[in-house]
Amino acid sequence: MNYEKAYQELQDIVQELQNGQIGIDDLSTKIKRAAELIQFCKEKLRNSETELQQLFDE
Amino acid sequence: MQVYSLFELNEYVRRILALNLPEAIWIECEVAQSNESRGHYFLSLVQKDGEQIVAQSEAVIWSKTYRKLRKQLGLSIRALLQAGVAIRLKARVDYNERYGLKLVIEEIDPAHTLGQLELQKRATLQKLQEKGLIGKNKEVVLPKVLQKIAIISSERAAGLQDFLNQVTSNPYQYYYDLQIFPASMQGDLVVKEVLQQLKKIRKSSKQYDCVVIIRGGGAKLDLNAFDQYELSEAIANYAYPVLVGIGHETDESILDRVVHTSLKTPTAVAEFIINRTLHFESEVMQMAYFIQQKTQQTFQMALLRIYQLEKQFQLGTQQIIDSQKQQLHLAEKQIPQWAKFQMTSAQQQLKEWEKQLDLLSVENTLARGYHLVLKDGMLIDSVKDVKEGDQIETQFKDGRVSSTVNDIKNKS
Repeated sequence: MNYEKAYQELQDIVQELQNGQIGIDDLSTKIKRAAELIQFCKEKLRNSETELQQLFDE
Repeated sequence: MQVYSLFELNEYVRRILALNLPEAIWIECEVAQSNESRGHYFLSLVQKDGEQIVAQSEAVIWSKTYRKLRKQLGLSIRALLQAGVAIRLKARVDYNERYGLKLVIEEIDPAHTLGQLELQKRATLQKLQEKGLIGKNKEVVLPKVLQKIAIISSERAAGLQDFLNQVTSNPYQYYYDLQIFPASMQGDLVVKEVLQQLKKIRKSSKQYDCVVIIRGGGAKLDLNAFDQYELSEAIANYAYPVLVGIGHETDESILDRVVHTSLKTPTAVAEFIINRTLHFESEVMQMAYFIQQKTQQTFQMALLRIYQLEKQFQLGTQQIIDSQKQQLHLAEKQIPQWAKFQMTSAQQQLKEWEKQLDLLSVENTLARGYHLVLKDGMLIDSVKDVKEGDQIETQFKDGRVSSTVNDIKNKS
């Protein structure tokens, strides 16, 4: 995963939501994914590789 | 035959030179070499015809003159005395019987060099344009977040520390992976060392988001290296986006035209990098906010619908289903009986109706002794329909009687 990919995936989710393409059943999967992506970005922006590694190892 | 001693000859030459060139004169040439020793500057001056050296002389700037020139020209003097620089200088031709000819430099005209550099710069720019190298590095995609940064700068360069401080102590606590690749930022070695480091960064197994070239302010002539074709070409073709902040306000160097992003100072580069990260994060947070809002909305609507459905189920559906079930159960048993019963009773009813109809027919009624009273040919069944003196007819089973009403008595 990298910033560009995370950004693109988030944008896709936003787009789908905007178009009302996500059914209630898929919604929770998508939200879970969005939360992961957002978390990834926020963590990565503030941590070095090694710190990140530790973070995900835990 | 007259024979001279070497000293006599050299003394003769010196006299001729002193006689013919009594004062300092202006000379245009190129610096081929320059060495400093105890404050004195020893130069090798040449004139070239293409690559061929057609004239060469040694020259010196005595330390006293150098100090004067330095005061007059500032930091530019260092750039003026670099190898390859076209220079116009005022020198006295000095001849020593033992050490030979030497030009003693008294003045330097920086405008000439600048003019020459400007011409060179224009030629370089044109060449870059022809090869399509202007704006080429701009086409390299600049990542949304510049986090792994290769810095080409001199450890001594003013501005590097400012840059590092600003980036590492940014108020948003963003983490930046900064690696310094040292190279001279002024003097003869700039082009060579920067090129070396660019190669090193490219060959490194580590991926960078961008390369940053920074140095603090310097004399205009000191930027000469950043106008060189070779360096500009390498940067234009570089695989990573290149950002520069080489601390000059007034005029653009060629480097500014070939890099991805040119900023005025190292501090401005730091700001650019931090703001880019901030912009990225705020975009992500905006998306997060939107997703949250939209999700909440969707869930609320879904909940509302479920709630409504639930209510319907509770109030209606279940009840209906229950009662339907019961009825169905009953019906299952009852339908055959009921149908039979219905059939029988319908038949009985039918017979009954036929009988009644038969009984109710006027002839039969009259035959049983009843009669009908008519007025103006219309059946009447109430005393209210007649008044005294009216003509009425009475229908019997065997004929009709006409009579006049004499007296009316209401049923009391």
